[in-house]
Amino acid sequence: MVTLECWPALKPWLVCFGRLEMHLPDFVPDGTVMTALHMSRKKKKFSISEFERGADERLPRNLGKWCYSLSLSLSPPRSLQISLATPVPPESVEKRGLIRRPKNRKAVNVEAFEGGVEQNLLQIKAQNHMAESQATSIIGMTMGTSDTEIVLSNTELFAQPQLGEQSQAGFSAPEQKLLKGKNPVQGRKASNAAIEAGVLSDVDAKEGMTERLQKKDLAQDPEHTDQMATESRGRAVSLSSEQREHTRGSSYAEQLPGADELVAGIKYRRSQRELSWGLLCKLLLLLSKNVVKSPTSARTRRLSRHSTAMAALYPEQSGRKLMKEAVEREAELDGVAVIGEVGDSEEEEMTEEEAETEEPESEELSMKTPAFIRTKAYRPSPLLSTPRSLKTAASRFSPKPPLAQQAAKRTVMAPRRKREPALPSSLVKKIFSHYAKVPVARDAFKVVEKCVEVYFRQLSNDLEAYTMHARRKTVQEADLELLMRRQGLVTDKMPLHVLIERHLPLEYRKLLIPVAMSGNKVIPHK
Amino acid sequence: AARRLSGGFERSRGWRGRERAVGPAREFTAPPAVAGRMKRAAPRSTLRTLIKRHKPQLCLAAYADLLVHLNFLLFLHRLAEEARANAFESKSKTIKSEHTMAAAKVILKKSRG
Repeated sequence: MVTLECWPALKPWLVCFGRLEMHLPDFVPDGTVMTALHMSRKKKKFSISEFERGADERLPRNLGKWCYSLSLSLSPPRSLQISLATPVPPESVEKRGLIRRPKNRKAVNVEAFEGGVEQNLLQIKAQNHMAESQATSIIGMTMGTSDTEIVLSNTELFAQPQLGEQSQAGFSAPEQKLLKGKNPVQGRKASNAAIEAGVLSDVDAKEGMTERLQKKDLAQDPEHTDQMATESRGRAVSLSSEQREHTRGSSYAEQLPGADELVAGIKYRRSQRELSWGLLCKLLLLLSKNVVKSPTSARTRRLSRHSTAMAALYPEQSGRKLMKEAVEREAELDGVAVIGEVGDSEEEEMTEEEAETEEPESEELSMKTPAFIRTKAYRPSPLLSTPRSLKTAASRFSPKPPLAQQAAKRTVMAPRRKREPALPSSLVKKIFSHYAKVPVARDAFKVVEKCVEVYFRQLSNDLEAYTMHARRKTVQEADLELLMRRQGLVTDKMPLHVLIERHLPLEYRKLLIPVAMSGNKVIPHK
Repeated sequence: AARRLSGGFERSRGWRGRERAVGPAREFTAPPAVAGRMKRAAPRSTLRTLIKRHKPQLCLAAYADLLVHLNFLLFLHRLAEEARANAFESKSKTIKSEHTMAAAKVILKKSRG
């Protein structure tokens, strides 16, 4: 199977689908080769193999595989059919692609595929990150942040080379190798931050890049997506900010400083061009990435809801607050470098605000939001056209502090939900209206409900008095009868059984009234 | 008494001889054979929970909650009668909250035991 490289010059080849058509592009190096092809056009298989062999001989391998691909492209249109397929990275192109030799193919697959995949990923990520970096001018940052990353980010929970590649691709090529297996989380953060920033910032060129990143990240990091996918697909920056606040784990501490610095650096760079949203996103994403593995998906879900709600409802305010939170978090974690970086010229405003705001404020915000926002959050969240990657990235944020807040709230809510048991109002209404025989106003029912509550209180008191008097702990039917007698319901003229028969359904009557059956049987058995 | 016996006979014939178990009675649905309007089943568990909440040291006997339900029905009955009388006195075709309020005062005092 010949795969055509995405070669602009090959376009004329792609146009002609006819097998017999042989349009030779102008850049054909060797006319002899083409003539040979012409000669052996009918037997394409053989011609291809022959051509390949000839090409191998002639074309120096040092020129690169793209040259070879070019030569391959010159092969008969048979390759055209294949060329329509997705282009294969140069590394993965096999020398013997045209020749069907399963042996060689497998050998190459084993070795070259992995390398090709990695390289491909690197290239793609590099492209993405380069696009980002160009916009954000991270160049100046890479030098400082990379070092810090390398130094600080030692413990990586996720030894995923993809992530490491991601993070480093954007920063520097040499660093990529170093950080490959080190900072997958940070890398994700960067990409996620970029993604989120791009998504959130409406009018920014980066958005396109971030979106691209998102898609690519998604495609490239299925693992993370899986992890995050389980969690709710938070969307907003607030999520990440909250998460950052809540990042506490010692395991993350090391990663966080590096991420914080990175975030700060990114923030600094981007602040010049970006809206506050983008900065927030990046910061949050970077930090949140450290906390990717949230202990419970539920927490992240809630947090994501929180953040989305906050973001949706308080776009600007939350952004600022998120920034503040982010800065606070950074301060907490690092306490030095981040804030210093953050407090740059453009971000002075933000830092000031951040310094002023305290965690309780953000907590309050999150506290305020829960009830009504949670209910609303679901609606705006689906409305937001957030790509899946963004959602996954957002879901990755595992905010611990908001989790605690939410947990506290939930515990408070839990007992409230249980409430006291109350008789079903419908039952009360039905019985009362049945006995009243005339229409009853709705307000009257409320009064009746209150009466019923008072009645039950009185009833329990009386029953307790009677049972205690009898030195018992269980309320018996005799106690009830005594109560009814004292109430005036049961008199000498009106025995209890009559009342039972009158007012209780048959099933209950059977249980309450002992009846003598044939054979000296009494039911219910006493 | 005679009525009860005849009723018992009828019941015995239609009875499948269910086993009677001491202790909290099993919840049973309203008999489907009852024609005409059938009141809803007594919320036995709710009643027990209510009393438990007020007096946790107290427990109810097997069928004592049914008698509690009976008492509750009779209470509502008296309340409704009193409210209806009040509404009738004020020449109103419907029972209003003020009628019920006045009735409640009287009946609650009566139901003190």
